[in-house]
Amino acid sequence: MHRRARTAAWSGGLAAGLVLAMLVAATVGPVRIGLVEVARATLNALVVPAGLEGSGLRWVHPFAFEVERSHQVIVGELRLPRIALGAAVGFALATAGTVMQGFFRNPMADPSIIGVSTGAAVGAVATIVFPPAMPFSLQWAAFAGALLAGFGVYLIASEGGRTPVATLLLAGVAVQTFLGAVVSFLMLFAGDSLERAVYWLMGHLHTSSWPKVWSVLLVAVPAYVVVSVHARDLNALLLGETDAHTLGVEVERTKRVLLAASSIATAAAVAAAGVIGFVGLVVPHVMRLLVGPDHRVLLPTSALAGAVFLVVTDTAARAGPAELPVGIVTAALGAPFFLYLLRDREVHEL
Amino acid sequence: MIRIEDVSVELGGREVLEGVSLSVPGGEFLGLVGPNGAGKTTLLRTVNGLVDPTRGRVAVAGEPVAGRPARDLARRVATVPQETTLGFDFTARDVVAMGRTPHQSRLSAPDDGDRSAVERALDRTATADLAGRPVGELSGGERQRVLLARALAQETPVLLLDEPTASLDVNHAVTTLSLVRELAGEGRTAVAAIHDLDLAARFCDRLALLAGGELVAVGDPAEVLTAERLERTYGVRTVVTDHPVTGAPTVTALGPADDPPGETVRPEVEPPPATDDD
Repeated sequence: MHRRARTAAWSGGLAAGLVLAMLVAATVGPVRIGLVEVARATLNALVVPAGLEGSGLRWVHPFAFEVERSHQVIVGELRLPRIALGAAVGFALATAGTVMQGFFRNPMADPSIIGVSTGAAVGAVATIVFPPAMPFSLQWAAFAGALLAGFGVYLIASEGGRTPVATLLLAGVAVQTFLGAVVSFLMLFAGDSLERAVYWLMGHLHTSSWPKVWSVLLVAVPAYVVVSVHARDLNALLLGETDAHTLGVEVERTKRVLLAASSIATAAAVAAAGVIGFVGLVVPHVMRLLVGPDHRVLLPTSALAGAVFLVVTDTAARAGPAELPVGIVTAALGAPFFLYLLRDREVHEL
Repeated sequence: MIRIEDVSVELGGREVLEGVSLSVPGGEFLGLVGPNGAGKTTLLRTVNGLVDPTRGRVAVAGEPVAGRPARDLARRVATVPQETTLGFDFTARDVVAMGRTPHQSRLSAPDDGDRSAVERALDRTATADLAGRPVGELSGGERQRVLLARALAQETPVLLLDEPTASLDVNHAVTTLSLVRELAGEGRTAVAAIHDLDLAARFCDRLALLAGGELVAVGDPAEVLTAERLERTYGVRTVVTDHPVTGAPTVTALGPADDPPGETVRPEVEPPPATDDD
C-alpha cells in the first residue's frame, strides 16, 4: 500500500500541476488573457462524445461560457493545440526515455538511442527539400523514417532470436551517424527551404493543430499502457537479463515489446514536433532521483513530469520577444537543472 | 528432482559440456566442484533454462526444462547468481521482493502471502537489518546474502547457487552453507557450484566433480576427493586427509603436478600447514 499511496500522491500532484501549467501557459502570449477567461475558453473548447450519429460519434460541447470571441479563438484554436501538443510530446518522450534507460541499464540512454529521431529527420528533411504535394506528408514521412530506422537497427542487432543490448546500442550509434550524414547531405540541396529544415531539426511546436495532438496521443497513450503493464519486468531487467530470466521474465519477448512500444511513441512525438532533445533523457533521470528506480512509480510520474516540463519550456520559448525553437530551451533549462540535482543529491555513479 | 541425461552444450562452437548425466534426488544438497572452466556454471544454466543443451535432456520435478516458459521454470527453480548488475538503486527489500515475480500476475499488487514470503526470506538470511538500504551501498558479501534471500522468496523446490561463498568471509560462508544444508533438510533440493573443496566436502551430501566439460566422478565427498583424481583434474599435487574436528575430507594443495605425485592419506595423519586451495 505504501508504494501505491506514493504513486497516487506523486501522479495526482503532477497531473494537477499539468492542468495548472497548461492553463497558465494559455494566458501567455501577445494578447494577455486572464486565467479565469482561459479556463472558461478551455471548457468551451472541450468536446465529448454524446452518442452515435450515423456511422460515427456525435460530439457536443458541454459548456458554453460567455467568452470574448477573439479570446475564444486565440485560446481554443491557437494556444491550446500547441500546449496540448507540448504535453503529448513530453509525455511520449519521457515515457520512452524511462523505458530506454531501464532497458539499456544506462542512465544516459534516451528515446532516440536506436536511431528513431535521426530516421525521422531523414524523412522530414527529405520532404522539406523535395516537397511532394500531399497534406501531412511531412509528418508521415518523418514517422515512417523513424520506424524504418528503429526497425533496421533492431534487425541489424538481432541474431538467432536474441538481441543483445550492447549490440543494439552500438548499431544504434552507427545508424544514427550514417543517417546524420544523409540529413547533412540532403541539406546541401535545400536552397530556400534550408531554414525550414534547420527549424524542424531543432524541435518546434509552432505548427500545432488538434489533429496533430491526436496523432501523438493515439500512439503515445496505448504505448504507455503497454510499457506500464511491463513495469515489473522492467524492474527485473535492471538486475540483468540472466537474473530476469531466472525470475520468470520472458526476456527476449519483453525486450521486443518494450523496444517497439517506446520507439513507436518516440516516432509519433518526433514526427509531430521534430527532434526535441533532453526531455527523454533528463526527465526520467530527475524523477528517478526523486521517486526511486521502481518503474511502477517511475513510469507514471516521469510521463506526467515530461508533459509538464515541455509545456513550461515551450511557454518560456514563446514568451520572449523572439520565439525560440523549444528544443533550444529544453536543453538550456534542462541541463543546468540536471547538473544542480546531480551535485545536490551527490549522485556520483552515472 | 533434477534429472540431467546425457547433456552436451556447445557455446560459440566450443563443447562446454560433454555427455553429462546426473540425478539429484529431492532434499539433497549436491556440490559441483572442478577447476575453472570445467562447466559448472553452464551445467547450472541447463537446469534453470538459461542454456539449452545441444544434446540430451534436463528435467526438473518430472517436467522437461527445454521450451518451457520462463515463468513456469521460475516457479520450480530459483537461482543465486555469482554476481548481479544492480544498475539503479533498489533497496535490499525491493530486490528480495522481486523474487515473488513468477508468482504474481502482471497487474495485481503484492498480497499478504508475497509480503510474508519476503519477510521470512529476509529473516532466514539475516538480511532484515539491511532491508531498507540501497543494494548499491552493500558490501559484496551482504549483496550475496540479499540474492540468496531473493531466491528463498521465490519459494521453489529447487535452489541453484553459483559460487555462493566466493565473496563471503569465512563466517558468512559457513552460515550461508549451513542455511542451504538446513533448507535441504526441509526437503528442498540444492545444487551449488563451490570453489572451496573443504567447504563443499563439509556441507554437501554428495559432490560432482567436473573437468573439461565432463563429469569425472559423483558420490560421497570422501569417494570423490582423492589425491589422484584431483591431480588429474586440477593439475596440482594434494594431500587429502580427514579433518580432525569436522571429520570431512580436507584438501591441501602441495605443488604443481610435475612434482612427485601426491597421496590420499587415510585414516589419519598430521595435517600439513594449512594453505588455501585457491
